[in-house]
Amino acid sequence: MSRRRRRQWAVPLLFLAPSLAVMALFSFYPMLHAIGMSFHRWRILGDAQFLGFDNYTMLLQSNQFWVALRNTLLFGLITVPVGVVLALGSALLLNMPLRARGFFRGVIFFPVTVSMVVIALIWSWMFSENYGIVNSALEAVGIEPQNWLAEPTRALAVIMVMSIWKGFGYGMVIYLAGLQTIPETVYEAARLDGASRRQMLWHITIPLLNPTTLFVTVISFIGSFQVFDQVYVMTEGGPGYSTSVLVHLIYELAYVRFRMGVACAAAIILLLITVAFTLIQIRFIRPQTGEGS
Amino acid sequence: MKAVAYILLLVVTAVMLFPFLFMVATACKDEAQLAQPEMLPQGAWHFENFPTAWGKAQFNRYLVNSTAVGLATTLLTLLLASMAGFALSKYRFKGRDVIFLAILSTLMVPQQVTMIPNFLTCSRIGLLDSLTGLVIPVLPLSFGIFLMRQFIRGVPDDLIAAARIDGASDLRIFFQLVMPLCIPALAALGVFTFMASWNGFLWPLIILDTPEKYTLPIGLMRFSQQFSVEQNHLMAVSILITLPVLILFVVFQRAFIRGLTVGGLSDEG
Repeated sequence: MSRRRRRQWAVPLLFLAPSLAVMALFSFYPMLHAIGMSFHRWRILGDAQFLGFDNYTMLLQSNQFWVALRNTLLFGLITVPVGVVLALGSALLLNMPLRARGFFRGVIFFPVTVSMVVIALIWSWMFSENYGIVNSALEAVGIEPQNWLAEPTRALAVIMVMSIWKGFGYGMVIYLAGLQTIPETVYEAARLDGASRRQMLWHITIPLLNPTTLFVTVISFIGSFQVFDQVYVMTEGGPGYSTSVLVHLIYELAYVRFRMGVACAAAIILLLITVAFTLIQIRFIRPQTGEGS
Repeated sequence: MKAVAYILLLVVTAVMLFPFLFMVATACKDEAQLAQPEMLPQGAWHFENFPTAWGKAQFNRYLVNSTAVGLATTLLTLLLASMAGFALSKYRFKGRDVIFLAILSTLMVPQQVTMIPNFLTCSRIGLLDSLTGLVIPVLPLSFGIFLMRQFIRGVPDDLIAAARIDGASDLRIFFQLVMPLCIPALAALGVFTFMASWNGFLWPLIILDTPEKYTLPIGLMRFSQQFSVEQNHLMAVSILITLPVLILFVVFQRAFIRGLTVGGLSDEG
């Protein structure tokens, strides 16, 4: 009996062991290590020195942190709603029985698969001051050429438009999957009651897609807090740190200024924001979609 | 109604494709044409830019690195995650649910949080500036285990019990019974993992130092810093490194979309 019990333990643990070993070293331990580091003065060389909350207060008092946080939130607050609306709109269009539906879906989704570095380089060149196609087009209709990426507000606007363009195909696909779960009988019943297309859209389709909408919104917000690649390639956070975002700040603190402790404090703040949004997702989404699984 | 839909879709298609067309047109210009305001090259198209640009940096090397790192990451993730998913769904043992919850909880930790301690760990065990360092610390295990556990739960217990009565070992049951049944989930997870690795930027940016180790995104970024005026060459290289992705996407569109949205879909249904 006891040998049988040991066997029940041994086999699954052997199957789990490789994963647990890797995760222990590169997920669980660094998680705790990051929390610990955030309370220490930690440079690459020299001993760590306990600071209490000093790293956090230093961040909260620095202008650069607030600029990065503001840009990050602004990025989310603009790209997420616009992206969700575009995703829903294109999903509704491409759920209709149209010719070449697969092609259109593919075209909208394709940028999701392309490296952000490639996309950021294309857009940088489109918006380049001297030779960019956008300035050429503006000049052709008599508008002064703009220096798009050297002015903070305009640079952020370009980065946001590009990020929406690259990403909304992802939400579209999730919406298309959500649309397949709405039974045709609901629409038939509504049609019998004399509902118009518009009424069916607003009173059936969109409400029944609420869980999908919430899911896409939360996932997109969490992703938006981690925006980095396009900022790094297009502006490097500049001029100055005016287009910096949270992850760029973390990167800069850790690998340009080698202030690992402060960088970890900023990362923990990012973690707290993410966890808050994840909890919202668990709180509101699971109960609604949980029945099916 | 349908006419409106088609018009809208054509507009959207134009907006989605324009930057790519612009990229191709720019890649085929020479220096003089770059300075002209027209979008298309006036006069000859300079297709020789493609081999010229590719030869300006060690892009063959970066291609090999990206491929090797992508394949290693994918194979390891598929193997480890399905092993763990199998253990967590088809065995009962004390602490199973705690282990699963601990794994799940790391899903909400952004990579940027563990990145700094992992950098220090890698420097201590000699993984900085190595291809191994691009693989092991960033295996998407928690997500993979979650997905594989959900999928393997659907494999009937009777099937496994029958195999056991026939004398099959646990290892054989896993490799010859469970794994083949998981091919759809493995394909989706594989696409997801490979693309995440292929397009990965921040982690390689941090740990790579010598050009021989660069992956394609890092190589392209460094190339753009070095030759920022040569937009034609920059765009030519961008096209060449996007081409494999485009071909795979066109051929396996369904698997691709399912793979890349697998996180969303698994939550939705």
